[in-house]
Amino acid sequence: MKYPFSKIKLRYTEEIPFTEEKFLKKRRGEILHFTLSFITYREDFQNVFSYLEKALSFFGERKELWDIEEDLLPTLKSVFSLKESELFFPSLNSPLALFVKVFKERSFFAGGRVFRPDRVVIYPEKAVVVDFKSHFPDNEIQKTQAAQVEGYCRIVSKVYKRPTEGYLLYLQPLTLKKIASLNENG
Amino acid sequence: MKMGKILIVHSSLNIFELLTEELKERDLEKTFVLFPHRRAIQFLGYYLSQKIKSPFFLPEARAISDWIIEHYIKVSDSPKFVLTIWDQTWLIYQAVKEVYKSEGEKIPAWEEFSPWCFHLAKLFGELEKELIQIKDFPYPPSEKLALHGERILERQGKIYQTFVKLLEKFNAITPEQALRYLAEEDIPLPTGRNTFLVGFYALSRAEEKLFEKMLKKGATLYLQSNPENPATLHKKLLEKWGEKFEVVKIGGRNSAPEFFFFEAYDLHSELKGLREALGNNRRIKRPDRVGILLPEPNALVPLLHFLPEESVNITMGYPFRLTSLALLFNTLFDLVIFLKKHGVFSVELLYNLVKLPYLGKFPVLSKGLFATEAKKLPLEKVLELAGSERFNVEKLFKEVIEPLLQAESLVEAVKVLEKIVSFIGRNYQLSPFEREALAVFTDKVLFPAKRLLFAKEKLGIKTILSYLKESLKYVNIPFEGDPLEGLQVMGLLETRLLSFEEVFVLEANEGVLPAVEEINPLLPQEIRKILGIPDREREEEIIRYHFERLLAGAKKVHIFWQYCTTPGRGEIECKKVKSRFVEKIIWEIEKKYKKLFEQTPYKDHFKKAVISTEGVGKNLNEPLKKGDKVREKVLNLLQDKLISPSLLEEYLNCPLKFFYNRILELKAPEVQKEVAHDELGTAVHAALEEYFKNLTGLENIDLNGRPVKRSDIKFEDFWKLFKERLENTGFYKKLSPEKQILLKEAAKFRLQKYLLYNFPFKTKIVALETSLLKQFVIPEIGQLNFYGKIDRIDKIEKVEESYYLIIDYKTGKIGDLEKKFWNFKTCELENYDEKALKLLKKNIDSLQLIFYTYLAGSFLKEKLGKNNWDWALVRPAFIELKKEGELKELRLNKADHSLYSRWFEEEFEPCIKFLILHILKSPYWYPANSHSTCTYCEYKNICRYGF
Repeated sequence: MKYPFSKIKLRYTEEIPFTEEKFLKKRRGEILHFTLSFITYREDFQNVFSYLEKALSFFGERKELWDIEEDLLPTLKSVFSLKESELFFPSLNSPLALFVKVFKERSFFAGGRVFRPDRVVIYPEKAVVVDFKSHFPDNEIQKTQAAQVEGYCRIVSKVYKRPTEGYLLYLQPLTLKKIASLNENG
Repeated sequence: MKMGKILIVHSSLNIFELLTEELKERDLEKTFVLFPHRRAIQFLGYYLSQKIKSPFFLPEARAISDWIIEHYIKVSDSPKFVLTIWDQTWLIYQAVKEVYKSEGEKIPAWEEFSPWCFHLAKLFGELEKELIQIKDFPYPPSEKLALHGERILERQGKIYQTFVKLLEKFNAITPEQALRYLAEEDIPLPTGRNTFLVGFYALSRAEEKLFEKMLKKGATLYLQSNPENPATLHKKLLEKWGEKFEVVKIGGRNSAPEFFFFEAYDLHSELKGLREALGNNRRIKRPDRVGILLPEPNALVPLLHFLPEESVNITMGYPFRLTSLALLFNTLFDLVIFLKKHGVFSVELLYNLVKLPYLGKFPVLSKGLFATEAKKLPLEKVLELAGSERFNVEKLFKEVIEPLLQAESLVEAVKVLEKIVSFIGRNYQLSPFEREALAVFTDKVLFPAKRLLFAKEKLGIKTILSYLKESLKYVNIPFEGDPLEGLQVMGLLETRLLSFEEVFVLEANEGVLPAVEEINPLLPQEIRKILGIPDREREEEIIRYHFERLLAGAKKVHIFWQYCTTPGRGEIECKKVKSRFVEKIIWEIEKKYKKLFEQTPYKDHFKKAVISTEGVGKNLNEPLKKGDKVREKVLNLLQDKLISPSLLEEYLNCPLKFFYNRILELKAPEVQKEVAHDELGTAVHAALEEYFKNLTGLENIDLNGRPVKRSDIKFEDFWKLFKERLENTGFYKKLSPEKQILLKEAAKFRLQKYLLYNFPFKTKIVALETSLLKQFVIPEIGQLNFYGKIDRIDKIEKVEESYYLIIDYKTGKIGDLEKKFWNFKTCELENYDEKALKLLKKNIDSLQLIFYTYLAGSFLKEKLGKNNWDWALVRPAFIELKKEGELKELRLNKADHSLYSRWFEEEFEPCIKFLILHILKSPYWYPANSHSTCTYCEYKNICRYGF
């Protein structure tokens, strides 16, 4: 008889960590993601430590198990140092601020599936999609991640009917990659 | 701010249809929807997509359990870290220690007390959810509680206060405290007309308070019930809120869905019934077309075999504890705990461990452990049993068992387990599911364990491994439910809110739907009531609600249950019966038609699977064919092995059994009997042999015979020999002292009857327990070796004649030895077919004694010389020790003994030759097909004709 699990989909088979190092890497990524999800505007960066604490609490992680000062905070702050970060974290003081919408970890639905980009910023004239990745991966994974962001852009451009740019922001080493630039029709 | 409203949506309606109708008019970016579970979020997306054709942003939708923690974190200025149940258990133990110490109470060891702390953590959680002030419980009903339970409840207030202080020290919080915080504190909440609370039934008091706050600020609550007669808990909620908020009733159809019932005899027949009932539904895409409800996940794997290859979504997780990897770790942990306690290995646990494939292959050790009678073995003995596998077994001990045995903290134990996981990953070809299970084990159990508050505490290995065993129980292997399409397989709680056109309910049996109540030694039902936390009655009400709501929304419902008798959860076998929920449906049908169910039109909707006693998937009309390769093996067997009467009788009785035993060499399972007759018989034979050897000094065959008189026999001497042998048998040692006495008395009585009253006044013993061999040639086969071990040969000397008696001691049941053998004519046998075999069987009930007589005759003929030989000189006889012990001769013809010669040479030899050739040449392995043969057959469980 055929092994029955061929017909059902397993959730993590390809990416589950089998070593503690991988486990911690994954957990670190989750903490950084969750911290960034509290930041709407550029000005919010000043509270990044408090958001990081919230993220640690959420994952039931004790502070003493993490290197906050030397690792997590510098990584988060480095995002702010990027010139392009203004695009993802608009300033409240910007004249456009009132017309900008920021969606963090919000899902959208297309083709029978739920998608959840890390951040979508809707400007009057364009939309920006950015996905944060904790580590810079190998080529194959980069391609998959890029395709994923491109897919997000296509959908966002259709929903908001405006040109859409897509980015991948790798936190370590800090690298920004522009993935897509679509017109308003995707 | 406008006050919110409550919508009571009829259970027959699809709540998502109504919700999305409402939502499509809203600004989805600003909408918040709270559901009882995560799966609903995907269904929300699906239903919105039916109304909004292009891609769209989903409202912010959350499952309540996720949202509570997220929102607590969001709104707290400096949120505390959320503790796992295991860390709560540890801190509660620290609190217990402090309280007990202050009261001069003996502090129980963590090893013994951790399960109580676990239950106490759960109790605190329940009390927090119900917003109950946690205080001491003086004089709890001690008759309902174990001593520890009583002591804990008496001090629960003090323990809680100390626990809270410890939580503060660690800046930690429990999930239930987070909920209570949201309910009781004035904090920002999603509010306004764009907030929807959808599909809740049983709310804790904290949830009620939280929802009330949201409703007061304009949220909308969707409940699903019959608006005119809401379900019990909805009714209670409406009694509280009906006046405060606007209530809108949305009616639906009151007619019941079309029911179909299937009574299966076991899980397999149930799933077969499901496959047939699914029919054309096997290739659907819509996720709301067909829902399969599986109340317990245990049957998930068998179910998968019966589901179509096309899209299937499984929303329920599969418990890790049901996987063979869990068996590996649990067995390993038990083995190490046993080893720590006793200093030796438990044979059973070690056998169970090495039989699993993950740590390597140990066939020699497995075989050795299986064969040994010892229950515990030291390492040296285990290594001896390992034989050629010694190196690998030593490695297993040094790299797995010993490091685990020496681990002093959870962190150290986990490090060893990480190595084991890594070893398995490298050396064993894991299936995708096993890989997933192993990954879940590391991700959810091992690595998080290292981060627990007590991870580095020095604890006993039993405590460490008991914790790991316990934590394994709560881990589930998730399945991917995205994209949302096809058949939906769910547990009952995953069906909340969802509606399907057609619903298939599996295992609708009592004990499953609703499930058997879990025993909580700290919280018996009576205590729950006193403490004011939800009791079993409420739990059952919740299950009933979800079940009835799911069914009310469907057009067609197929209900399956089992009726076979299976081992129950206790020791007693129980007959499965259909769920009380199904009984209610049947009762409703009977009330509607005012007739018994069998007289209603629904009788045609009822199917019952009938147990077939026929084998399935094999043609029993055609026996098993004998192929060329098998025939070759038969030939080798006949040429190489000794041909004994038991071999021939086995074939005569059932060629198929002969095939299982001698050709396939399948080891028949040992049937444990209280009195092992074979062992008892061996003891009798051995004692008689030794006694007569001592009495006569006979060592080898003496054709003249050694004289023995009845008066020479001293029963006490014989009894001593027998008793010694009997007491050394395995079965005797296991008998109770009373039964040992009874057995001895019965044996003494019968053996006395034989030796003191029925033994010949005088006889001459020629041979005792003598093995005889005769070579016999059948041209088609070549030379065969006939073999037999004769119990005794006596020489009888009378005035008129002398002859040899070939004596067989019969201790067990005997057939009709004097059947029709003597009159049987071999020429009646024609072809090597079933007819001939049946004819032989009809005339030969027991071959053994005649065969021995033939062997003894052949031997004596050679010794005495052809000229002095006459077959009338040997005569078969048996002594029925089970009865009076009388010696009975089998006689061919009392008057004319010369007939013996003709019979043995003209009938017996051709008959045996025919039988042997039948083994080789017949086209089939014919089955016995006889009740008397099959009933006691050791192979009946595997036999294709077994029933």
